[in-house]
This record gives sequence, structure tokens and C-alpha cells, in this order.
Amino acid sequence: MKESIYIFSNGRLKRKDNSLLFETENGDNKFIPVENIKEIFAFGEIDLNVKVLNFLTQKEIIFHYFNYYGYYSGSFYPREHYNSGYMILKQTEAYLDQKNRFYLAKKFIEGAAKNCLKILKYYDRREKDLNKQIKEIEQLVTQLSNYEEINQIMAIEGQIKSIYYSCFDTIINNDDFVFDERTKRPPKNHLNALISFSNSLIYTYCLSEIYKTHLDPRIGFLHTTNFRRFSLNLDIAEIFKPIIGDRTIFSMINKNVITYKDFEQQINGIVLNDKGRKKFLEALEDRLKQTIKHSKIKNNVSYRRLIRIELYKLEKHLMDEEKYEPFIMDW
Amino acid sequence: MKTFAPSIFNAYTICKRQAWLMMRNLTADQDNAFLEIGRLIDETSFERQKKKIFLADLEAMLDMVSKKDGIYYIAEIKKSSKTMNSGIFQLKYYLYLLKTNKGLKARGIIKIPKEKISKEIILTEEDEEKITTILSEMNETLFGDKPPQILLNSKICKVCAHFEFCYG
Ligand code: SF4
Repeated sequence: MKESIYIFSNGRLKRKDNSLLFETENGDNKFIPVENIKEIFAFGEIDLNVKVLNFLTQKEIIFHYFNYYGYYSGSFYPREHYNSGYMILKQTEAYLDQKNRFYLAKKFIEGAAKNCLKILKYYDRREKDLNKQIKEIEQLVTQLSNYEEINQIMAIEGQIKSIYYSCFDTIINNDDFVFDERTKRPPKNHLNALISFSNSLIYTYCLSEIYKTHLDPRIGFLHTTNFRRFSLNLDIAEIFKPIIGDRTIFSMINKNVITYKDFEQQINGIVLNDKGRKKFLEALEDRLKQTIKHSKIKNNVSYRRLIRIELYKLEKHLMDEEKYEPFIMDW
Repeated sequence: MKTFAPSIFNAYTICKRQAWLMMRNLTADQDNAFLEIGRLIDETSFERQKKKIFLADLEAMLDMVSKKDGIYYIAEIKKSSKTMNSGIFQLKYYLYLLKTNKGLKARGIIKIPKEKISKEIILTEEDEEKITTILSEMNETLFGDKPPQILLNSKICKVCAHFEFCYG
């Protein structure tokens, strides 16, 4: 399996013959083994030139970059190498077909909600009393089927999310990490900073996986605000944010692996510092590599691979072969 | 009747679904370990004979072409005799394509350098009939809206790059 490379230092990324070199500010050279990586995450300030971009294209490596505060800035998405006119037509067709688009949008919300429920139930079994919230969300999920418009189901989704987030304080129970309310740009407290960081990473992992399929990341079904931006990855991420991201957040805080010392106050809100980001990325990588037994594939599959399989399922839906059903964790 | 690129023809004889997917350029994930190994083998063991010839109009990649006593010979190089039979049939399809689409009569040679095997192949009438039958079936299946079914529990699937796509 190909790996991800995370660069934290500032420096210059260079092409040297048939490989990539990273030259740090103090002149150290680090070799990056291009044959075995699928993506680079850049958290430092990095200079690079067109030669490097061409090389990344040639090696089919995605380059995700984050700004100084650790907020996602964008991705260099090399020209697609898996190109199928057929699939693009099918994806567009599904988007234009109101019913089909609505079906998929609803499935993404349903999948996300059911995975949130799995998390809440998991902690409910561990003596966190979340019964009331679980009932409420379950109720809202059944209501989804009554609606016919994207705005309406988005509103339900909003309610589900806010109940879900209201459980965070019960699950975490740590005064350094109160939830208060969901604040995004900028995150106003430690927990929100962590959630934002985690979510933006899941978006990029999903984007990298889309790159390995024939789907066009610009055509989403639930998130369809702007055709110039990537949105399909946001759709798919809904399914995985709770089970990959939030689970990692809870376990790190509850085990005191990450503490308030891993954050810093910036003028525009609270952000993780370098050490905190590294810790979180390490835990998230572990989580992505962790495997579970897949009921259909009958084999162990990593969480990272689950994202890909989700995309394959979507492709099969678009091919009109098998209706898409979201992945639901089965603890 | 429409003929197909050899790659699709070969795929079809292994799994119709795979051929259907290939027709739509739904190529499999290149991360798949089996493909990776296949590629390595292909690139390393036959360094000496870099004489691949691509016939664009037939979408055919030939390993070697030579001419002897006025007769064209096209050679197919194989890794081992394990895949001998399918190799022979693939080669016959090349011969068929050359004959029907280009009016060129050629003969084939299968080579397995490691086992010092070099075997001459000719296209018989019987072969032609067999290929024609397959082609007409392909014309029906591969232009259909729905992909052919998964070969459930087949050994072929376990090493197929589409495995996670089909079963996931
Ligand atoms: S996994 Fe099996 S059914 Fe699917 S394309 Fe491969 S061989 Fe055919």
C-alpha cells in the first residue's frame, strides 16, 4: 500500500533527477521516495517550482497544503489518470436527475447519522448516559424519508449534528476540552480546533481516494455549492468523519495523549501547535491503517481502504448496477 | 462485425465483466499488488528484447515482428508455460486481426525464453470460426447497458485488480 508523507518544516521541495528532495531551512536534504507515496501533506512553508509540479503529475502524487495555522488551503490535483467518459456521463446524469441526486444526498446523511449513533451507543455502553440523545437522533433519521428536498434534509442533518455534538462533553468529560458550540472559522476552543483539523484531514484523504477512481471530485450530490471546488470528497467524508476522526479525538483526549499544551492561541482563534498536529496525525494514521473484517469482501480491510470501497459502491450505483448503501460501522 | 482490441478480447476470455469495464475505460486500480508484480516482471525479465510494436489501428501491442522467406512472423513472449494455452489463443487473435482487418497473412511464434521454448502457431479455419463466434457474442454483451455479473467465488477474482470494485 502506498504511503502518505507529512512535511512539517519550512523549506524547498526540489526535483532531483528521478526523485524528490526536501531541503530544510537549515540546509538539510531529505530524500522523498516517490515510488511509494500517494500523497504529500505540507504543513510548513514550502517553496516549489513547476518542475516539481510536473514531476508530481508524472508520479500521480497529490499535494495537499495547509496554511500556517494548520487550516487546509488546497490540493494540487494532478491531471486525472483514470479517465472514463462513461463514468463522467453517469455521474453527471445522476446529478441532473433530481431523484437520483436526492437519493444519494439522503444516503450520505443517513450514513453519517448512523455512524454517529454507533459512536454514541458505544459510549453509552461505557456508562456515559446518552440514551436521550440517541433516541432523538434515531427519531430524526426516520424522519428523513418524509422529505423531498435537499434544503429540508440539510436542516435535519443540522439538527442531528447539533445533538451529536451536544454529547461530546459527556463523552470527553475533561474541563480542558469543553465543546460549548461548534465554531469553525476560526475555532474558538481546543475541542473545536481539533474537530476542524480532523475533518479537514478526512476531506483530503477522501480526495486522494477519489483520485484513484474514475469519479470527478467536483460533482457532489449533497455538497453542491460550487462547481469549481471539490465537493464529492465532502459527501463521502460525512460517512467517515465520526468513525475515523471523532473516534480518534475521543480516545486521544480521554487517554490524555493530547492536552491543552498541544494548542496555541493565535489572533484568529485556537489552533493546534506543531507537536499537537504531529500527535494527532500519528494517531489518525494508525486509525487509517487499522483493519476490520469486511462482511462482503471477506477479508481484513483498512479504514483507509474502506473509503475507496465506498467510492466503488458509488460507481456501481451510478452504473445502475447496485443501489448505493452507505458503510455503517458494526460494533 | 466489430473487432476488439486484443486486451479486451483477452479479458473477455477470462471474465466478461472485466472486458465490459475495460471497454468503458474503467481500468482497475494500479495500486493493486498483483498488477504491481505483473508490471515488474514485464519490465525486468525481457530487457534485451525491447522491440514492442504498437499497431494503433488494431490497438495491438506485438512483442516482435520479423519477416522470413516472405512470411511475416509475430512473436508473443511469455513468462512461463503455465499460461501457454491462453498465450496461444491470444496470438491467434492477433493473426486473425491481421488477416481480417489488414489482409495480412502471418504466422505466430510463442517464445518462453526462460524455458527455451519457441513454438510456431498458425491460424486454422477452426480457430477463425471460434474467434468469430466469440466476437459476435462480445458485440452483444459489451455494448449492453448493464455490466455482466460477477463471477462469484471464482479463483480468478481473488487475483483480479477489480476485486474490491466487484465485491465491495
Ligand atoms: S473481480 Fe471477478 S468478476 Fe470482477 S472483473 Fe475481476 S474476475 Fe471479473
